[in-house]
Amino acid sequence: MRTECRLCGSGGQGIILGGIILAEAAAIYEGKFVAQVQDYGPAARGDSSKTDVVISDDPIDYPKCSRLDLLVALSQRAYAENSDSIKEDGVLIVDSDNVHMTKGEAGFRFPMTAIARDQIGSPMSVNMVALGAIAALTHIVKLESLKKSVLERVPAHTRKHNLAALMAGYKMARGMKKAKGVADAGRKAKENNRTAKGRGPEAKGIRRRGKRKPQERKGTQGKTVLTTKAQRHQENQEERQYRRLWSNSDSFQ
Amino acid sequence: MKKRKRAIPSNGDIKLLQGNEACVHGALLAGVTFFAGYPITPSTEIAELMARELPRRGGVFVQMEDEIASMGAVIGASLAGAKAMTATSGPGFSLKQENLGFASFTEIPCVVVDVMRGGPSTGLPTSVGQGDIMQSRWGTHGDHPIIVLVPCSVEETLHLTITAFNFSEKYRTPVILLLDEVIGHMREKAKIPSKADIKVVERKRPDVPAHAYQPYEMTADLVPPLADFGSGYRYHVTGLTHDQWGFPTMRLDETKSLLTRLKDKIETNRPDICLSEEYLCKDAEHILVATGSAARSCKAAVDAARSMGIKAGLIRPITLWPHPRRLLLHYASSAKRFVVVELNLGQMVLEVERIVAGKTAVESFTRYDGELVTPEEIVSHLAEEE
Repeated sequence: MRTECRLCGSGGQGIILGGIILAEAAAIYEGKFVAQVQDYGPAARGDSSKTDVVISDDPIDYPKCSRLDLLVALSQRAYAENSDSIKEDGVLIVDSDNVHMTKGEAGFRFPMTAIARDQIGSPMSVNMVALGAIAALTHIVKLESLKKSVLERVPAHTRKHNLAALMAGYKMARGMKKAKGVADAGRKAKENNRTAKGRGPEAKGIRRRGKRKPQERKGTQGKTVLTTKAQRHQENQEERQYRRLWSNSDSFQ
Repeated sequence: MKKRKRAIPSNGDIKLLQGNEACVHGALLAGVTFFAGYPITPSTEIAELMARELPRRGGVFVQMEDEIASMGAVIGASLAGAKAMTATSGPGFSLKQENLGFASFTEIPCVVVDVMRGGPSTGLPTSVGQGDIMQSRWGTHGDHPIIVLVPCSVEETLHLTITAFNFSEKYRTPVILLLDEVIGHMREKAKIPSKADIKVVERKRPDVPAHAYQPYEMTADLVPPLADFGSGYRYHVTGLTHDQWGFPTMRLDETKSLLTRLKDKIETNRPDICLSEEYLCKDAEHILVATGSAARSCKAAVDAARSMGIKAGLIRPITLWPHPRRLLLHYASSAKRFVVVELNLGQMVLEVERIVAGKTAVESFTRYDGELVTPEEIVSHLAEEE
């Protein structure tokens, strides 16, 4: 049984450390075969960052993901680039503070950055919140293994914070029914868990209910272009940022 | 006593390690005592970990001013008796070539790790490539012996690093350990062996009195003993063609016998040096030839192709240079074709074509956009061409 997990976002969110902790939890504390590879740009912050963790009962040859059992997306770009690779029964977890999902697409949405910032005191703990959510929503790794792995991998003086963030993510995902906007996805996942006895990997998530539908829109030169809501959102964001940049710039006022 | 931060795991432990980290563990087990380098992605972790671990063990870590100087420092340290290594990537490997040729000609044992990135020049620092396959063989000038080892997993990286040191000490030659970005950065489980489980070879040192020592003597095994500088043996080391005492010579017979000995010390030991893996080759009609991370995709492709009824197999040269000639020739008569899969524009295929010499068809299947070739691509190539 080969499980393919991808964590992605932008540099500085701790994506790769998250992948290492997930990999170590499965490899060392649960005895699985694991391959973790990473894909990042040269920038320290802001560039796209991605890690693939393949977990298997058998030795792993090809170490990267092709069809995802789990996608955790912490940025809009990461979501847009990877959401099409999710398997039919794969699990999608997004940070609703950074990602606007396409209408009709099922997935777990949590305000992970807000939780990290408000409950833990630093948005940098968003990776641990995401790991907690993985433990709560899937059967890929146990929470206990993740805890041990966190203690092993993070610097000593940040252990308390990171564990607290992990637990915050876990509790948040456990209490997902109450969380606004995920009620439906949560119920669906629970039903799956209930129907599939033994809580095997096939029951670890929810079914994607619909493909994202591109909409027609007038392009700049009067041409009709097909865009998705996610793309339009990103464009809007970029334009807003651009405007802000220019309006704040003293030399051009 | 202050507790060590994340100390290196004890022997016998199973750890989740990066290929680069495993390389350091292997080197430490093999007894490395000197590292000089100029850190470069994707090999930086090797320097990082060495900087932390070597001083703790009484070894020396030096971050040199550049790649050229770091290779020079490695050669000097080895002449003084240290087991020395450096680590780099393609652009830095080019800079090391001049001194690498010196080490090869003056027979100074050392290990050079090259973690290959994508593209020529500075290319794609964080992406995978296998563009240094030919550079590792012919990068330096002139005819020279070299051994190049290529692992394809984290645990194999650990063991091959030990093997690299052993070969370099045993044959008095530089050994290149060729990783690629995927192997260097990938994390997998690896067992750290205990010292009792591994074999470590030390270089042969002279047992004659200092005045009778000949550093380049023609010995029966073609590998003369090497004295540590500072141990009372005085001798001359030069990149000029030299006689058995190490002094420059232009005599035709001495020049020829030196170059012949250097070639033969590797060639006659091919059975010991040439390591390789074969996978389902016995009845295979289509044999993939690949090395490093590309071989992992190939192995998955062989399994997938077999399940579709295509008789596929895989030959993986672990020792890239000298190339596993006998193994390729053995299967050249039974296979319909060889497909050489590599992450460059086609380098290893040239050597395979040369060896096979028309005994079977040789095809090249390449990917060079900085991404690892996928098993699906290879299978569809095998299926459509059949």
